Amino acid sequence: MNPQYEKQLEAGVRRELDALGELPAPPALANRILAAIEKRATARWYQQSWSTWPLALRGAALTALLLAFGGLCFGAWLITQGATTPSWLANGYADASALWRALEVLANTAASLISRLGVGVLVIAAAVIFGAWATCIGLGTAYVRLAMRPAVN
Amino acid sequence: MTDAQQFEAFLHNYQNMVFSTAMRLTANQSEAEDITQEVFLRAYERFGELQGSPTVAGWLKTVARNLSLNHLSRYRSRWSFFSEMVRGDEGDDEPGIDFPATDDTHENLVATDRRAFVEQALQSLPPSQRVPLVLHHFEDLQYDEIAEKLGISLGKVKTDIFRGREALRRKLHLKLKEEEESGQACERV
Repeated sequence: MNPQYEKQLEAGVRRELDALGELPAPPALANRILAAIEKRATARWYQQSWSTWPLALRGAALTALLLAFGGLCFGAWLITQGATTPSWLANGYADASALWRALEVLANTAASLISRLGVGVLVIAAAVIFGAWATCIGLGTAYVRLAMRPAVN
Repeated sequence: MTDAQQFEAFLHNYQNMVFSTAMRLTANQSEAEDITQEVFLRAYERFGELQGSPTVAGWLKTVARNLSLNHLSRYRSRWSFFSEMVRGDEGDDEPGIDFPATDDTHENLVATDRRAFVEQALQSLPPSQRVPLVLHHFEDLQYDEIAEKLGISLGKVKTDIFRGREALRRKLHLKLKEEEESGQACERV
């Protein structure tokens, strides 16, 4: 890059950009902002962000969350210690175990199927998946470049 | 004057500045409007501190710039793959707006039309060139500050700004001193 040319280019572009000034905001924007402020100000405390809640409520909410978390941790610890669990919890645990066993059987079946297919089939399947992925990316890129090209007029 | 009226006056005073910052960085009107709204919502929460402060304009500009850059970086990962495929100097070969006269285009254009034309040319630059150029020219950031803000190398900032200026020169049909001199020399020959 020619330093002399760069300096002239910078000066020329700066001259053009310095002459721009501020862009006028759309006329309706101020009303939109004022309406958003009004809406936020009239929203109830629980509809606003947690940081804007009254201090007492923030403290109460934090305490409740900590208690809930502590309860969960304590419950999990009791289960691992073999404590007598209520029947509803024991039933839920049994259901979860059955679901886990079913998933395990499915995974084992898939693994044995894949091992019998051989390397060639797996390579072809991987190539098909990669081809589909590349096609999606290619079409997406074409869409971005053609449909979303900034208009120059 | 009530607080609401004071804030309304404050909003009218600074909305163009905030909108300009967001618009030039994002090059998208609806995104720039959303960012401007967010800036003023934040300003409203701290209006007590900001009111009458000499640094209020700087505060608003900084918040607008940071929100715009956050917005751009949030979508960058989604878009970078596609935008990186676009040549870095894309747009350079795009024809500029054709005006009836070529040599004295500047004189023939009314100043406001010229400004709209430059603004449009700036917004049509790819983000990789527009954002560092805007940060340097309008936000007065140094190259190293831009590199840090955008998380890119200093060399890339310099190259992108050079390419951005070069693309603008072509879009605006800017004639530099060097070119004018070589043009005159050709005419003499």
